[in-house]
Amino acid sequence: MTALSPFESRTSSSGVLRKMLRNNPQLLFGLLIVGVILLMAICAPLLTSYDPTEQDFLSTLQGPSADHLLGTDNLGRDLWARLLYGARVDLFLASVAVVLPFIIGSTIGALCGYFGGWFDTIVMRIADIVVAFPFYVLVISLVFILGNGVSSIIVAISIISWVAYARIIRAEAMVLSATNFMDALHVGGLGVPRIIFRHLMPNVLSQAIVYAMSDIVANIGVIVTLSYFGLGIVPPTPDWGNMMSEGQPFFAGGIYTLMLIPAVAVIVTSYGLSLIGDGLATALRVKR
Amino acid sequence: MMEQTATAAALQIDGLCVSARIGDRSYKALDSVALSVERGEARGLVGESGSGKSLTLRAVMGLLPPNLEVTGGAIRFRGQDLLADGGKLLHSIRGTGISMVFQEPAVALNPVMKVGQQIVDGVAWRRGLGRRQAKELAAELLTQVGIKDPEHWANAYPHQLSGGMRQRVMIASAIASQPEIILCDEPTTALDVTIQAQILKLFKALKTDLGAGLLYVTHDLSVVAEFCDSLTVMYAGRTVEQSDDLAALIAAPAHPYTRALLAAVPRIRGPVRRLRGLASSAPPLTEREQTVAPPMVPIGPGRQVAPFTHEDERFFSRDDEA
Amino acid sequence: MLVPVVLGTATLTFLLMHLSPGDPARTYLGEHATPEAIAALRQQWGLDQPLLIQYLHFLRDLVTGELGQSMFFHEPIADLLATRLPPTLLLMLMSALLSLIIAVPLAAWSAVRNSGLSDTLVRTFTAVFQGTPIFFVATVFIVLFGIRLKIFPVAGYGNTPWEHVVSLFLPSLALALGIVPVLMRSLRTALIDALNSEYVSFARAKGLLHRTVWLHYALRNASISGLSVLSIQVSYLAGGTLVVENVFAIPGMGTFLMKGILNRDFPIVQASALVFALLVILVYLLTDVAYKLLDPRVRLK
Repeated sequence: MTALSPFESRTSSSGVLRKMLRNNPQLLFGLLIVGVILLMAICAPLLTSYDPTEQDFLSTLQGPSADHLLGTDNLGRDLWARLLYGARVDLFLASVAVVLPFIIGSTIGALCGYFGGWFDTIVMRIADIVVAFPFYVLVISLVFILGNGVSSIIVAISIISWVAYARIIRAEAMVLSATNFMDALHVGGLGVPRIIFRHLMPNVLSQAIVYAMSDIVANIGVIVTLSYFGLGIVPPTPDWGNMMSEGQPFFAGGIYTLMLIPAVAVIVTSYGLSLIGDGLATALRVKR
Repeated sequence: MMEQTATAAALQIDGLCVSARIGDRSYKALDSVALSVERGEARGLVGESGSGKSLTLRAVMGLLPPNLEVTGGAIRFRGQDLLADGGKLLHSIRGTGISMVFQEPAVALNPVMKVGQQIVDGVAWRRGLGRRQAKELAAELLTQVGIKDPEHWANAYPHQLSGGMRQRVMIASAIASQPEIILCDEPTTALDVTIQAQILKLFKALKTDLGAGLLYVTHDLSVVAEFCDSLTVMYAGRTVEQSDDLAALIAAPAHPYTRALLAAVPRIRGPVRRLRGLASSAPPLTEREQTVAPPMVPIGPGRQVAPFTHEDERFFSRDDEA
Repeated sequence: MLVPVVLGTATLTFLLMHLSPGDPARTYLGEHATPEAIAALRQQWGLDQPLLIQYLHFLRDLVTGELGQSMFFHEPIADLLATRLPPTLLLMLMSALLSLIIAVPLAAWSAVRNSGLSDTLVRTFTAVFQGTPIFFVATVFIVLFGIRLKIFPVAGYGNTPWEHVVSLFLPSLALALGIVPVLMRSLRTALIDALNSEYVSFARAKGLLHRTVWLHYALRNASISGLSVLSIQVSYLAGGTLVVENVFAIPGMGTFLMKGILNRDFPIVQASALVFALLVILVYLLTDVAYKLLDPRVRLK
């Protein structure tokens, strides 16, 4: 009676996953990189015995040694420990700041695409206004208004990022609701919310998921930038951004590691996420 | 035509082989293709889709896609092999000695350039024409292909033109340099039937006016009957039969494939017969024999046919409904 | 389309500043201010009026080009902005140009060598540069070209036009590198499509020079999608000026906004955020015009 959604395949999902990974070295490599970094962040207390905020003025600015894997900073704090605990903060923030707008934006977009009319017009006008502001300008202004800290970063990013998801889902939903697929569901007697969440969403989510990967990269960028300017994660809580900010004077002075180590962490993590995004795009056949 | 047959033909293709690389294997997309076109002659080149008609034209123009390459044979223009010097001669002949009319004018015209400029840009830089001269030439050519108000249309962009007008523009560009050979790649296929007739009429007129040789690719035998002098038949990347006299070939087709092809044409006169479809389309590229095709053998003045077996005979004469 | 968005951005900046939890007057006067002093200042700034009245005043001021007074500098913001805008505009222009200068040849190269290797290189390059924070690239440039090699000034804007350009070279390059990957990738795709198109075959069949085919047929068509990507990226460039200007200490809009933030100078933050948004809208408008020039199909509809 009801049309079969293209995503409701009959093959087992684990089999599909295995096949997807075998044919997709990018995805595999990306998952490997991000997986290792995530694991390191989660297991931070097991991988180091140092407190990332503990200062030791007797051993400042040391090079890598058996005691301090990556050496110490100008306050004698262990860089390896700071890197691991910083990963926890940044990756957690970046992920939450994707999940939230993802959910909000997708829902709004699906509603817009499905209902159209004045609701759609108003929401899309608001979206136009939000994206008229340069991302960094609006985020920094919002964090300034909301105050420093984790929650205001998440709120600030969410206020802006929902737009992209809403637009992606809306466009797809409009195409879908114009096709017979939706009519078939209607005839089948399904209620509107059920249609939206059970059938429309799975169909259009693949694009949004691919976009989410580049969004996490962008979030990491803006989070470390905020912290670099002293507007994000405030010291002593370690974060890759404030580590780079604190390391910058030494970078200019010839001691490169303090800034370079967190920078490499940011770049490698982003690289891994981009690979996953690319790989997913190939696997899900999403046009980028 | 007599004095030209004494010297070399305007365009002569001999044993042309083109291979396609798919993965790490190589397949013959064209196998020992042979045909020739004289000035003033209109040669039809027929065969079903995928038989290599368009590919032959593209090989002559040096416009093969990246995964295809010429692996053997010769393409001679006035007796000179275009492939011999690594493509230099070919480059100098393109657009001057040989030009081409593409199948789909909707995608073959540059969408962001005025049609007048597209018609003459090749000729204009070669002859060093100024802006005004180029414009005059464009208008002249547009008139020649039957477009009224040429000054206006020369300044239009392709999307502003109808399908038939676009094809006229394409033809205007092909005749701009007064070439000796014009390759026509199914120039009417993408058009409405009434427009097709008009374009065909234009080709007929141009044939006599220009004295150029036409190599006219089509799968429509009625087009061939209407305006070609000679015919070459292709099947699965090979030339299976050709005749310098169209009527002779139609009267007595020698190759079983040609017979099957002609039998598939509905006739108005003559005894009532059941219309037949082609027994089978050619096998896909990857399933074709990789042996070298034997050359066609002469079976009369200006007529050649590829050797065939009884098995071929049975294969092609098989009724499709059987 | 345009009017609602401009009005909307103005409204949004207004709401942001007035719905924020802190009281600007209290912030401005400090924690030890007397309630009377705060009340007086609130009255002076009109903060004691109903929100709607404040909004209407704000709009009226905006139309007359009056952006309010800086709390910190005691100068009209419009005057301050007038000196801040040129460096930012030059910075954006130079980085847009630099990104094209870098991205177009790379895209062309990788489109011609449309192989697995060039594809991998493009993807890797894209992935690495997209994830590199601008401020880090900027710092590396300062240390490498400014401090070690001493080719470019480390910071500032200079005094003469030539000095402006020289001073902004490194910042522009740092900013450009942020959008080169996206630009290159989309241009590459567009070029590959164009090169495989029938109109390029047609151009070749006419015996045109390789260069002509490239410029007038392939690149001309690819530039249309390149332009649309570039126009989207202008928003990124505008935001990026905020970052590089602060790293390179360039007296532009970005440092102005940041100063406003550090001084908790609400009117400055409000005005600069609005000007940034208007700048982006203006660029979108300009791209629309350029689009019409490049693509005749858009022009006539």
